[in-house]
Parts: sequence; C-alpha cells; structure tokens
Amino acid sequence: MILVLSHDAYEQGTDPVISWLLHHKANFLKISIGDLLGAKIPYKVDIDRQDIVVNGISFKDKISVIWHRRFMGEMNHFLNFESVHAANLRGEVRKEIDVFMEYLSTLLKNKKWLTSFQKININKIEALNIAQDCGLIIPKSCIVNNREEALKFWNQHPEGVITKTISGSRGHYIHENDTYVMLTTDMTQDRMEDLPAFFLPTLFQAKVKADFEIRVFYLDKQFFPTAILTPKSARSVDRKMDNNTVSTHFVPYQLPAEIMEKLNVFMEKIGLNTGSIDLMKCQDGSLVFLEVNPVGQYSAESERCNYKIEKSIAEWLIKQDN
Amino acid sequence: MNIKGIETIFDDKLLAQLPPTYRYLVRIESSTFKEHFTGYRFSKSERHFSKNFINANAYKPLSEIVYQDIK
Amino acid sequence: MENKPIYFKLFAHNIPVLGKERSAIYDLQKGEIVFIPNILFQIIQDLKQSSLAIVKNQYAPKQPELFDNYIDFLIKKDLGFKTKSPESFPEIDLSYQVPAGIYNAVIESDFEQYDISLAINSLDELLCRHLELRLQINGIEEDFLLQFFREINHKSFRSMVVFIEYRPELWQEDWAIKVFEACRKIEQLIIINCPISFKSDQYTDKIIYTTQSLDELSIYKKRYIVNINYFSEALHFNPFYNRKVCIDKEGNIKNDLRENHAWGNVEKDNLLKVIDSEEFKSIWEASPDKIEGLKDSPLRYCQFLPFQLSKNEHNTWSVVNENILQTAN
Repeated sequence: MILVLSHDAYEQGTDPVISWLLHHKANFLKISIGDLLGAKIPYKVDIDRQDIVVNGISFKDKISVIWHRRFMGEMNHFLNFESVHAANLRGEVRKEIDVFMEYLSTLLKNKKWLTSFQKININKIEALNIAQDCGLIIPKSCIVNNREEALKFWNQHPEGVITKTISGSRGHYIHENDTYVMLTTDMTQDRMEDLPAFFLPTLFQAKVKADFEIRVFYLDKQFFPTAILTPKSARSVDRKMDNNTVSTHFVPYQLPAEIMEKLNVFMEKIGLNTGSIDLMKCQDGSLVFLEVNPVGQYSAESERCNYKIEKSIAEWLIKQDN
Repeated sequence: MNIKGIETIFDDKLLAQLPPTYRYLVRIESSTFKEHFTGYRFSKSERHFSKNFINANAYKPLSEIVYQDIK
Repeated sequence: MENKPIYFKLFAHNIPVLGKERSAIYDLQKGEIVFIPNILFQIIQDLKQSSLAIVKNQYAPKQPELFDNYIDFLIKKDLGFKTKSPESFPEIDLSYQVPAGIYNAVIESDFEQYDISLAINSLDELLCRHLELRLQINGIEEDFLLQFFREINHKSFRSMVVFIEYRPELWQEDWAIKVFEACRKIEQLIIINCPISFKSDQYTDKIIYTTQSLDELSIYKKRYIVNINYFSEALHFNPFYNRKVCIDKEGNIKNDLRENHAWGNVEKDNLLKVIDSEEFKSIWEASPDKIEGLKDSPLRYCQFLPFQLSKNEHNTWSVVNENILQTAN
C-alpha cells in the first residue's frame, strides 16, 4: 500500500499524482498533519509492537512505500495560542510534535520513501559543496556579516553579485493590497554601499553569465529538464519574476550524459531520490548548479513540456508497491 | 503578476536586526500574485482525500455550447 | 564549438502543420496560429535534419536572400532560434494522456424521469473531470436542490458548468446564489429562458441570467482552440467526442445529446459497461485526419468540431451536414 503524506491546505503537486493513482486503481492512503494533530482520524502508535495503526490499517504490515510531500507544512496552524505564555507554549508543543514525528519516521525508516523524512529540509549551502565534490560547477559564493567583506566580494566579481536566503526559504508578507516577497536580489552598487557595517550572516553569490536557466525535475534517475528561454532584455535575477513574460519559452532540454551522471551521484550523496534542480547554462557552454529543492513544484514545466511528471510519480509509487 | 517595485515594509529598527535581503522585498499586487490563488474556487474530493480541491477549467468546450460566448 | 554548423529550431511548443494549400505553425504556449506557405513547412522539416547552410543551398542556391527572409520571418515572429547544439533541444512528446476514463460529461435532468445520482456516482467513479448539467427544476424544493449540489461538492469533478431553466425563485429567493455557494465546483451557472438578461451583482461573470434557450445557445460558431492538450488529443482522437458521455432527460446514454441514437439507459444498463463498449467508443477515434473535408485543413488540430459524424468504409468519417463544414473552414 502507498502512503501519501501531505497537508490539508492546497498543495499543487499532490492532487494531480493522486488522480493518476486513482486512475490506475492503486492501493493508497493519504494522511495530513491535520489528520494526526487535529483529532480528525483515530490512530494508535503501538510502541511495544513498533507500529502505527490508522483507521485500522497497520503501517508496519501494509505500507510499503511513502510519498512525503510537504507533510509538516501546516505545523504552525497547531501552534496558535492566545495566551501571555504563547511563546513558551509554542516552543514546548512544537518540541512534543517534533519528537513524536521523529519517532514515527523512525518506525517507518525501513519503508521506501520518496523524499525521506530527514531530507525534506536539506542544507542548501552544504548542497553546493556536495555538488562541487561531484564535479559540478557552482557559483562563487560566500556568507559574510559585514559591509567591508561584502564589498570586497562585490569588487572581485564585476559580472555582478546577488543575495538570497541561506535556507532557501522565501517569506512573503501581506500588507494592505500588496504582497512583499523575498526573492533573489540583485546587489547593485547603491545597495552594496547602503549595507550597514555589520548585519546578520548573509549569502552573496557571483552572478552567472547565463544563456538560460534549466529546471530539472528528478525522479530516481529519470530527468525531466526544461530550458527556460527568456530574451536577455526581459530577464531578471529571479526567474519567478519572468514567468509571465510572453516571450519566455519553456522547452524540453537534453542534458549532456556527463551532467546527468554527476547529478545522479550528487542526488545519491545528498540522500534525495527526487527534487527540482536549478541549473544555469552559461554563455561558454558550461552548466552551473544553483540548488536543489526536495519538494519543488513541477506542474508548470510538466504541462508546458507535456512531461506528465505527475503520471511518472504515480507510476513510480505503484511500481515500488508491487 | 503586477510587480510594483522593490521596497520593504519593515522600519529601520527592525531592519537592523534582519539580514539585508529584507530591505529589498518585491512588492506585488496581491490579486495578481499567483501563489495566493486569488479567484480560484476550491471544493473537496473524497476520492483524493482532498479538503482543498482546486477547480480547473477544461482545455476545450464541454459540449456544443460555448458558455464563454453568453453575454 | 565555434566551427560547429548553425541550425535553426522552432521552439518545441511551436508545431508546424501541413495543409493542402497553406500550412500553419501552432504556438501551443501562446495559443496562437501563424500561417506559412507550404514551402516553408518543407524547409522547417528539412532544418530538423540539416544545418542552415545546407538547407539554404538546397532551396535557393541562386537567391539566398529569399531563404534568409523566411528565417528572419520566423525569428521576428519569435517562433524559433538559431543554435549550434540542436541535439540539446528535443521535440515535445505529443502523446495524449489523461487520468480519467471520461474527461467530460453532459447530463440533462428534470429530476423525474431517471435517478440522476446514479449517473453522478458512476461518473465520479470514472474520475470524470468536467461536468455540464442542464436542469429543469419545476416542482423541486429548495432543500432538495441544495442537498443535490452539496453532495456533488465532494465528488472528484474539477469543474462544472450548470444550466438551469428559469424559475422565479432562482433570482427572487437567491436560489442561484445558494446553489453556487453550495457547490464550489461550479465555475459557471447560467439561468436560461429568463424574462430578461442580466448578471448577478454578487458573482458577476459567474452567475448569468439569459433570455436565450439551449437551442439558441447551441448554434454553431466558428472557434479555434490552441493548446497542447487539444492538439495532442486531436492528433489521435476526435476532441469533441473523445472520452465524453451524454445523458438525456430520459436517462438515455449518448455520445452527443443532439443525436437520436442511444447506447443504453442509466436506469437499465450499467453506465460503466456502456461507456467501455467498442460501439460507444467508436466515434472517439474519428480524429480530424480521418474526417473528409477536414483532413487537409491546416487548422484541423485546433478547430472546434461539434459536428454530427457518420462512419464510412476504410475507417474514415464524414460530417453529416456538410454545409456546416463549409462555414467552419
């Protein structure tokens, strides 16, 4: 049986795969963090038997493969307390849940996972080093806490410098009718000079002289690469700002065999069997590795290139279950 | 996506406690920010175990009547 | 790298289609059509195999500027690009696949002549993605109507279009709004045969009151649908009939409501079995390439085809009312 771990809020990558599981009449169960914490379904964790029984289904006996898709994404929903002690309560309840989840993942560690519990939040900086160790080219990067070092880095890279979050997270803040989003930021001279003398550790990267960006959905050694061809005049440092440009073309791309081999080794080393990998094709022909997102979205690229990635994911799960 | 500019919503005191990236947030008109899914309707699907099942229009007319033509 | 020959590629989402007198490039990403002469179609085919220099020499050895004009036209229209590594840009796989036994269904009902919930449940089981309902609700209580729609709100349909025959309560007692709110799968609610036409204040463009009847709304209008799903479906199937089922007011199972022939009745026959029969599915295979009078049109993979068809020998099809096809082309 296939177990799908997702959340109750809309998550665009989950339902399309479930449609294929249903179409193929696969044996599956989906549970959300809300089901486990929101008193929606009865379950028992039998510590003696080292088993979880949900709706009468023994995970130990019945579940063979687990698709882990943003399961913990709605955690904060359960940490809203109206109390003067809210901060303490949040910390304590969060710890309870984390330890509980950690135990559940231990119980299920011998199942086949599509994105194991421990790898859902990889360290993106460490990922750069692992990629480098695998022979992939990465952008020149540094983390600094002061203007002087930042300016030095900026001066060493006349092609320009960008900054983005160390964790890869991308917060957004709603204020009146607008949403303020943290994307990759182009560090112009003005912005560099405006930096305070000291600041919290911040990631700076040299800009890559890119011809175009390639987004690769990776599924257990299968590659679904999409080249995103945007005219240079319309290009931003963050592709998320370009997607609506009418002159952007999403086309299938054939990665060189050597790069696929390196990416296979990289994914194995980092412990991921799926993910969305961002690459840059440079003007000199080389390919630069930017990052991997363990639960990246794939729908837009899948639809534009007719890749049917959702079908491939469903069929992979079914294959593991048989 | 209607991008209105690069700015911050945080005051100087708060910005001093945050990484510099918080100074350069991209300001987008919320109704055009795709990730809010403004204008979409959500139902449920028991078969999908889905409590937020997004509506999606067909890529073709469902019958000989093209309802988009109705004024 | 520098000495490699230069190739020209259309962006993979731009697909050239050969017609008898002219050809077309379908831009499946922008949803647009660009007409081209047949000679340019042939040039594009040859450019898949050979470099620009070779094809140029082959077509216009004495007037290279003619060839250059064609390539400039394609680049100016943002349809393609030059590259030294054509092998990096494969074509799009145009196979048609949907996770649904039935993609769309059209159901008529007055809630009297057959049990509509039988049909709804079977369609849910088939993972039918889109549902069009045509309802008459004379004599129906409000609670019954709302409960009917609340139940559909839990099914697996991805969207619904609902036509309801006018009844004063729909507007005066806000039944239409209540229906729209009870079933959030409804994308469009259209009240037909109204005394006057107007739009809902609360859900403008979602709830529409029209004086028109279903017959008036069914009058054929020329229409082109340019997207990758429609295109890939039309390559292999008839996009109007493929994976569609219709159920008329009496519960008869049909390929299209305007047809007289029924393949069964939901009260007597198992809908899933009827749909799975070869006879029912035969018309699904009437792809534009198999339809007389249409197969030579460069627009055959984007044309809206709500035509009644008859099957000929040798696996070809004809449009019953040929005059309609003249209008369409």
